[in-house]
Amino acid sequence: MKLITISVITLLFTGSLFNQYEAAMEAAIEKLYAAQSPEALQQAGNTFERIAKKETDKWHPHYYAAYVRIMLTTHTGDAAGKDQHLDAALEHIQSAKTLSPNNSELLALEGFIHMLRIPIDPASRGPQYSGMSMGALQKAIALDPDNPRAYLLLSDMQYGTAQFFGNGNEEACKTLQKAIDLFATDRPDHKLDPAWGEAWAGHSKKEKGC
Amino acid sequence: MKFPTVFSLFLIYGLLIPAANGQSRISGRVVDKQDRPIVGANVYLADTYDGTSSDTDGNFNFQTAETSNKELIVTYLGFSEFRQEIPLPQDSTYLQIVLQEDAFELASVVITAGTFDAGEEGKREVLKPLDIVTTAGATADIAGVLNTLPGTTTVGESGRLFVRGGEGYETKTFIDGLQVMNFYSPAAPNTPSRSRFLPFMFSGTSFSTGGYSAEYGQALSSALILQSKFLAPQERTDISLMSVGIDAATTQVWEEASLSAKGQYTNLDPYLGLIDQQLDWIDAPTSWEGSVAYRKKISSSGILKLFGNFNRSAFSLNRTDLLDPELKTQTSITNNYGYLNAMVQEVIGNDWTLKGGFSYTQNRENIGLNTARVKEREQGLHSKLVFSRQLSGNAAVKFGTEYFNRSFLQDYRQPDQFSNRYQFTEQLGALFAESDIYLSDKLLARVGLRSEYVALSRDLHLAPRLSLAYKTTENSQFSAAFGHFRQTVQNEWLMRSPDLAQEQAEHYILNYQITAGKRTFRIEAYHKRYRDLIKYTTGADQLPQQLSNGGSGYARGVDLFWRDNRTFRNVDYWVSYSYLDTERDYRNYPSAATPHFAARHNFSVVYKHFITGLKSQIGLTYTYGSGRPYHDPNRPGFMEERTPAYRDLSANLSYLFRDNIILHLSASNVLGREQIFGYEYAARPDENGSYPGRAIRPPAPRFLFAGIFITFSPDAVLNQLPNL
Repeated sequence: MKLITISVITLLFTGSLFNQYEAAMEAAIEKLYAAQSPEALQQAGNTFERIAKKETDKWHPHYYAAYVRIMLTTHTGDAAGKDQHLDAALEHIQSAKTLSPNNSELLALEGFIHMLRIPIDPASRGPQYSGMSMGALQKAIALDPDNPRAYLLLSDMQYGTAQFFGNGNEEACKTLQKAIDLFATDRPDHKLDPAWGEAWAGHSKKEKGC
Repeated sequence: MKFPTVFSLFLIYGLLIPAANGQSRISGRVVDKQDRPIVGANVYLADTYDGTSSDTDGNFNFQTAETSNKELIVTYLGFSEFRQEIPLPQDSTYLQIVLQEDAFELASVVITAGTFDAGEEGKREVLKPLDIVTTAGATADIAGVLNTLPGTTTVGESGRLFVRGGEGYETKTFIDGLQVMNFYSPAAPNTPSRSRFLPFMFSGTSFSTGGYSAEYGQALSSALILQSKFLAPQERTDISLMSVGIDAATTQVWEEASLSAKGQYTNLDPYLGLIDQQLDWIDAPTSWEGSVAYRKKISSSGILKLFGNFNRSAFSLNRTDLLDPELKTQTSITNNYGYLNAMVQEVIGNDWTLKGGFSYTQNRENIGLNTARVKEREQGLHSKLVFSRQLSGNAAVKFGTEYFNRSFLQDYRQPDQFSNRYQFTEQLGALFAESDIYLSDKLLARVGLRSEYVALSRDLHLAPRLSLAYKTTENSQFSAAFGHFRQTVQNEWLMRSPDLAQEQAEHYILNYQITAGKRTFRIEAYHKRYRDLIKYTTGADQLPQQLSNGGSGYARGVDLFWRDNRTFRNVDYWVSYSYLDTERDYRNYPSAATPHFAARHNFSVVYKHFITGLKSQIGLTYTYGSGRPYHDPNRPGFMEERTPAYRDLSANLSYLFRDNIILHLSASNVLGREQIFGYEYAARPDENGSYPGRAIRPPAPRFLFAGIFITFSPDAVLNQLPNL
């Protein structure tokens, strides 16, 4: 009896801590996807950064903290400010990569970060960062050939490169279609896993004229 | 039975965390120094989930169930982290939190006096690495593009960097902080020499025309500080077919390491056969070159860089004697060069960064003058250790030590007649310390001190350095620099008289820079004083004697720079103008005079236009230098004559044939202007009592170049990913 009591206590105790993490993450992710303003994004980002500080063995908080920084670059006008957010995002990705090596989602996001460096100064950054971005996205696909986000981002890179060189969009469209097909069947393994991108893919299809 | 157990569990639970019901409230306001609210700051208790973000008025408010004292942390991008211990539990706590700007992260004001930075990331940099490759007339040579910046004089017969009235040797080059000896490849007479290292290797270039950091010594006028790239981002193979040779390069990439190797063969024979030359070549210049770069991440914060370069070049030609045009001197040069650079950087503890490394240079040159043979051997080791750390949001410190060991040997033999041998070994130790202090978010001071001990002359000296930068508006700033600089005299003097003291220079620089959008304007005024320059008399045998440090001189002037990447679509251009007033009394000058390498007015325009429809970039560079002094022994006075002004218009065209194939064409002196760099005269008068002379001019009016550059990278593989 005593033994059972103790084990139940332990279970409840640890269980509650476990739930505290999951619950906090789920709430924050919900707020993130609902965020419309930079303030709301920043708030969600702060929450992920707090959780990342406390849960030093979890990669998800770093992933979302990086994702928020990426989103914040769209609300920042100046180049230095964008770079600051991207630097912070890359730091989170690097922390996350040590906690979860060979993670396709982390590499896809890393490719995204490199990609966003290019429009800040295309002529001088293009050659370096397009290579780095392509490299990371290629690795993301190699690690998980069913990761729709990796294909979505890759199609963006291909589209941008084709535009720059004045080539057609066939290749980018093919990759985008692959992403759209994967989104249709994509079901995250874990409820905290990334689930964004399907709406963007649909929007992107129109934008790219695919 | 079950129910009471669960019930009692809740009781126990409650007993375990008694304060669960007694929540503590923490609230307050986050502001900056000017009491402006900081919106979106992250406010939380260390090691808990409890926290919030500051609202649009900077206010925050949250509750915690913690029962023991916890640290409150406030963070916001661009500001130093705030930490304070909060006594808990407590009903409510209110805090007014003032965040301090992290001046280093913001870099709101940076030192620009005397410095042109080219980097990929920086905010106030005037040049990008790509500019070096795409500047017409520079033929992808680092010194070539820097010669389009103010503060330099184009000395066409040399190709080296002559900075602010300084000679070519007064500019020293450092790769990853380590010295490079013999930075330039040997060149045929009156043709510009090229630097040995390719611009693609470097992610950052800092070209200082004066007043540089205490970390760098042994350069009187200028420091060219090159930062090599770290890990290569992707695998690739490059092949270049050029009118002057071929090269191939390949890069392998691993998880945390990369290896690049490159081989190059150049032979100017076919080119010189096509284009008429004023030089009487026996063997046109040929060279073999190989280089290897290895980079590795040795820990989460540590990096290792290894770089090696080997080069062998040779040429021979006949030179006509000035006194007797029938007499030819057969001149040949064979040069073997090796350079090795190793560098490690690691973070120690949480705060200190340690950087250590060494470079080794070996240069072996064999010169033939008819039957005479001159052998020159030089080797040098430079090792360095630097500790640096940021002390707080507004101060950083760096200190370190250096050791140089350099030996030189010259062996001159005229078979059956004469032989002579000079040699010396120079050892030099240095200590330096430097601190960057943000006195406010508008005022930055860099205070440095360098001390060197020179073993040959048993000379110990101190060299202070000071720079200030003051931000006047959001986009503009003033900057000033002062410093003492010393450099060992050139080998040809030191080998004759090893106890000669170091030559000295003092720099005073005032700079104003305004950057708005993609436009930059800067103006810089400077004064430089030379002391202890080499001085000698020339004996009947034409050899220097009575060497001393009795020379002196000055250089002063104004440099202007304007760059505009915005006004015209797809057009980028920059304009440089330098005014230089300099005189020196050195070497065997009878009195103070402007030296032959100094032009009073220097002007250049670099223009680049990207034509999207044609997938091409065209570049034009115009350079003007007013006449340079020379001495005509047939006329009275000393250094009274002036050459005609130097004018050059160079053009290039890069065409993107495929995503991975580039065609490149370039030509110097498109308009075919006559270019005269100076005049040379015979050492003795002829039978009529006059000194015969001739103009020093380039061997051909133009230099033409054509190349095809092909890159193979996994992107192509990526494009063929199956089942897309």
